[in-house]
Amino acid sequence: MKLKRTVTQLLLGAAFAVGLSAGASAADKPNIALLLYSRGFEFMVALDQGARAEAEKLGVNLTVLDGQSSSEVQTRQIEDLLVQGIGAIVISPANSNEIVPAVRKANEAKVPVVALDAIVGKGADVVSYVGFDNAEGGKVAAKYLADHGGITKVLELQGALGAYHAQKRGGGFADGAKGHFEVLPRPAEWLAENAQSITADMLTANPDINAIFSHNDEMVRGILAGLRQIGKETKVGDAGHIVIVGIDGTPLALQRIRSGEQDATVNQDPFEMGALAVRSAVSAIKGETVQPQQLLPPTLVTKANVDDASLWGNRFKP
Amino acid sequence: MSLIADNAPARRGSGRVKVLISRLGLLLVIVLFMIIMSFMSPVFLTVANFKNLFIQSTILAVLALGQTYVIMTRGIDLSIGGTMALSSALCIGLTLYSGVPVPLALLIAVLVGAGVGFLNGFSVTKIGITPLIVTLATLSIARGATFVYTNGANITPVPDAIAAFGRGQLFGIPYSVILLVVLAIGCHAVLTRSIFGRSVYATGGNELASRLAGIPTNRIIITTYVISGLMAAIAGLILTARLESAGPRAGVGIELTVIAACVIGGTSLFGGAGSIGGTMLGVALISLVSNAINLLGVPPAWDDLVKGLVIFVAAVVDVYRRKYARS
Repeated sequence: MKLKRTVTQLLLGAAFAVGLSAGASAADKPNIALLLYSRGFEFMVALDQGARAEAEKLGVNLTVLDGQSSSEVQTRQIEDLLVQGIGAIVISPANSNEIVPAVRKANEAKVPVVALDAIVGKGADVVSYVGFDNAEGGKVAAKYLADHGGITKVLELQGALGAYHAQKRGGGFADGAKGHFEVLPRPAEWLAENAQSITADMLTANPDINAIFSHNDEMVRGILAGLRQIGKETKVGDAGHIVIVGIDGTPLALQRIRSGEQDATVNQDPFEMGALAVRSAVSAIKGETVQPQQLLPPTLVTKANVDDASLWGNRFKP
Repeated sequence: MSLIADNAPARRGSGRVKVLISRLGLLLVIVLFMIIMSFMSPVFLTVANFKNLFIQSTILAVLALGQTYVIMTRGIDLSIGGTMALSSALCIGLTLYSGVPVPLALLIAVLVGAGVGFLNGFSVTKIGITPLIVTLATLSIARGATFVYTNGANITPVPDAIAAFGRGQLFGIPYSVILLVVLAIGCHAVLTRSIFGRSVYATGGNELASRLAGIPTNRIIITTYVISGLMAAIAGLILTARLESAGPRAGVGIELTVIAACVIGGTSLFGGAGSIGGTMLGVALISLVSNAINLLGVPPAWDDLVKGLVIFVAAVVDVYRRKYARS
């Protein structure tokens, strides 16, 4: 009896809900999924927050999934979402090429896909690639060092070998460095631990290195530890100071710039990036045309503008 | 107690010289490597570089101490990277966000490490899950818990006492290196001089026979995982003190390097054989290779290839050296 009544109530409720939504035009609340490749970085968490805020503003249902840095996990997530009849997928791929077959399945199911932060490789279609101009970011860092004066030899701590961001940032940096200073690149897998030993070893072998460029701000923790280890830690402006430039503009990096431990960072805005990706996905569902590539420009942050309240590193709350 | 295996290699016949060679095997590889390096890089044989080498190998070494115990009982502990991150993030987070005094936070961090180790050991012995799967699961659990706790962010600043440990030196030797030496001597003494140590050899050599002989093998195995968890927590704290911040990605992927160091150092994956001295030599070789790659400026794309080749060659040389020593 009780069960029956509950079921009836449920059915009534459902009918009511359907009637309501039908009244307010059917596909009003599209379902969008955001597939982050990992939540192990502040940057990714900020992307998540930016996307959620925009989804709320636009009245969209947003599901966020963590890809655990694995293409396999992300592939399964896409397959599951397609079965559930998702409206659109925003994906920040762990690996641009490995994700192609899964995105192709979404193409076949006519579900629009937006690539966020990194591209989806050849062989599958995306509505748009929303990201940071990584090559330009590398160039901005190189230009900062070239304009700094007195820089002759730069240690470059790269991200994971073969990673899209690392290739673009390294390529842009190499272009910008030409004719200004020598670059010694070392792969550090984005990890602070690796950055520490590489910094100590490289500066011991090449005492004439006078600047370090890191592919992300996270590794700067390790660079500073490496410099401490060999007794070369100095504040910005001190004699013999080794100039440090990162990329990302994380809260910690801004703090270091304020306290004079780090010279500069190349800022990218994950809040805006996440929001733009959600907007693009919604437009795609509505059948509107979306720019195939939307790159956010890098900006340089130094002590002069580090307190700018609009910087994501100053707005971010974990 | 005649069941308990002698940890020294076979000593019969005219073996004295051969035993010496077999003992020195890895050391010979290392010395050879160092001689070659001293010709290839002018800074290799400098005090500054050796200081770097010692500092850079401490974390790997501390982890390898615990792992040696585990592998000797035929186990494997893949969870160490996650334990490192979890215990250090908790330690700094508790002092920063919850106002826990530093000594208590340190104690909690170490207990968390021991707790993960106990969970590993308990699951292996009492529930009967393979070590590989148990510790793969706890690796993921510990790392995941760290992500949940930190939300992907670094925790900073670390308390002054912890930063001071990371920067501090005694007669020019960093505190962390001194701590490593103390831990290594302790682990060596326990393994060679105590009943527990001898039981570790016995349990790894033949678990069933050991149990029949009255050795509490389950308790021995659980203890080895607890030691490994403790060492992982300590390694995490050393890393945090050096980086003056705790990060959720601490120790990503370090477990395989640690296992490689133990095995190169003569710890048998089939249990029952191994020594702390050997493990430390394994750590030394792996650290030397990374150092050499940086000093020589090996092109980035070749980095992993060269590392892998040297480890492979060391392993091959070691196998032949042992065969020769036994024949």
